[in-house]
Amino acid sequence: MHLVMRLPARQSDRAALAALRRQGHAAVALSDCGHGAGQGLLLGFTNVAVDQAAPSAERLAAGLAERRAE
Amino acid sequence: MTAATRPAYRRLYRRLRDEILSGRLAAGERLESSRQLAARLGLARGTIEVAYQMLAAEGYVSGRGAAGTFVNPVTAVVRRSAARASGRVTGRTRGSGAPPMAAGEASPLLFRLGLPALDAFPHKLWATTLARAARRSAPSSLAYPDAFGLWALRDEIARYLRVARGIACMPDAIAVTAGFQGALDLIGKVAVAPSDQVWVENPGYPFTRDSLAASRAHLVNVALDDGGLRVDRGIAKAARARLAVVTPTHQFPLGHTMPVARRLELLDWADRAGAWIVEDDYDSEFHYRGLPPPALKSLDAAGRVIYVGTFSKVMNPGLRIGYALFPPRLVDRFRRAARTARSSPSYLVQDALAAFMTAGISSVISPVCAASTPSGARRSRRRSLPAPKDVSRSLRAWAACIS
Repeated sequence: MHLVMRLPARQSDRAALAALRRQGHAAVALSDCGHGAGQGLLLGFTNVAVDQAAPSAERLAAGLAERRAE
Repeated sequence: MTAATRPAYRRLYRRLRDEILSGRLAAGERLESSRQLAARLGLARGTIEVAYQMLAAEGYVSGRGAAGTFVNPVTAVVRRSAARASGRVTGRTRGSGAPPMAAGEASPLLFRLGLPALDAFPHKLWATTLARAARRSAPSSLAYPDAFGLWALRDEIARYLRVARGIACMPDAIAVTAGFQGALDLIGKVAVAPSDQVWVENPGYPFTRDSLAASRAHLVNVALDDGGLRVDRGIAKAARARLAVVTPTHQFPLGHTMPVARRLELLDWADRAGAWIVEDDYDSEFHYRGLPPPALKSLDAAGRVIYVGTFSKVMNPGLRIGYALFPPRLVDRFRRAARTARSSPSYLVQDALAAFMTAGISSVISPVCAASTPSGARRSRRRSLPAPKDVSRSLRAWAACIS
């Protein structure tokens, strides 16, 4: 029901998540699931409508790019 | 679809959601009971309950058993997101740099974990089933319910577990609980004493950790590999642990399936150590080919596994219905604990759910999934859900888009 999107170790998943939440995304940080789990985002996809999948992913990508640029 | 032509449950859901987002319904405030609101608005009670379930599924409200349904805190971020989603862009959000969203295009809960296809949930059918359940309710069903829940639903769950999960079981060892949380609360009370060592997967489900920590258990983080929880690591760290909580079908969050050899190793440890294993089988209904691997519980000859399932994924999380199957020697202890907890959901909802399961059980591959859920129905009709290779292609495209 979800995907695990790994982030580079130097990139904080909690910071990325905070940026995404400002856009209305509700992912979960992988580092919140345990010690040494690495950095990443858990993205639920089963409640994303088929026709919304691509635009949603593009918005997510834009959000992450924006975060990297900050 | 215009506001006037929207179904009543949808109009009510939107109205209540707007009240919450505007702050007119404040955090902690109790919603009117479905019965009272139905009488006041001249609507069917099932209509009100569906609207409440949609609000609960999206996190705007929470049911607290007999105490009622209460408004959750709504952050400013969610308010702004919802405003954008409904086209009410404020000056502040316009200047935020976020991409514009068309009305109804986006949800503030996009990518939220554990949500099935809520937009495709058969609300009308569910409302009808609820109404039928209410009409046929006997006076006896208005009294204090059985601590383990409605027999008819437990019977359907037992049937489902036998057919779909390969577990030999009877309804008398099954308790209907207030979701996974309700089951874990009970387990924390009965099977764990303060400072008992409990193995948890690392990484694992954060809620499991939080809940067990609240029981004052001593959590032991056990590392994973591609086969899930490393039993040898667990033994090295805490061989006499009292409990182990695992997700063997789809490890949360990494998705590994525990192979049979590892399952047998885990069961052997539990038998020798006198420990209990909690099998959290949270989403085994979601799979693309054939049946999922049989449950760990199906191999449990020594009676050490407490199996926990949920309807949050195959129906919706707003229902707050889960279930636990206990080993025979623990049934009485759990029954006593359940009497004091009194946390099972309303009989009416349980009765409707049992009817839902009964109605679909003969025609499907995975009974609960295909009978009761839009995702399952899609799958069984082979209409809306793409073939596995297409899904794989879509996900790759998705990932490429993100990276």
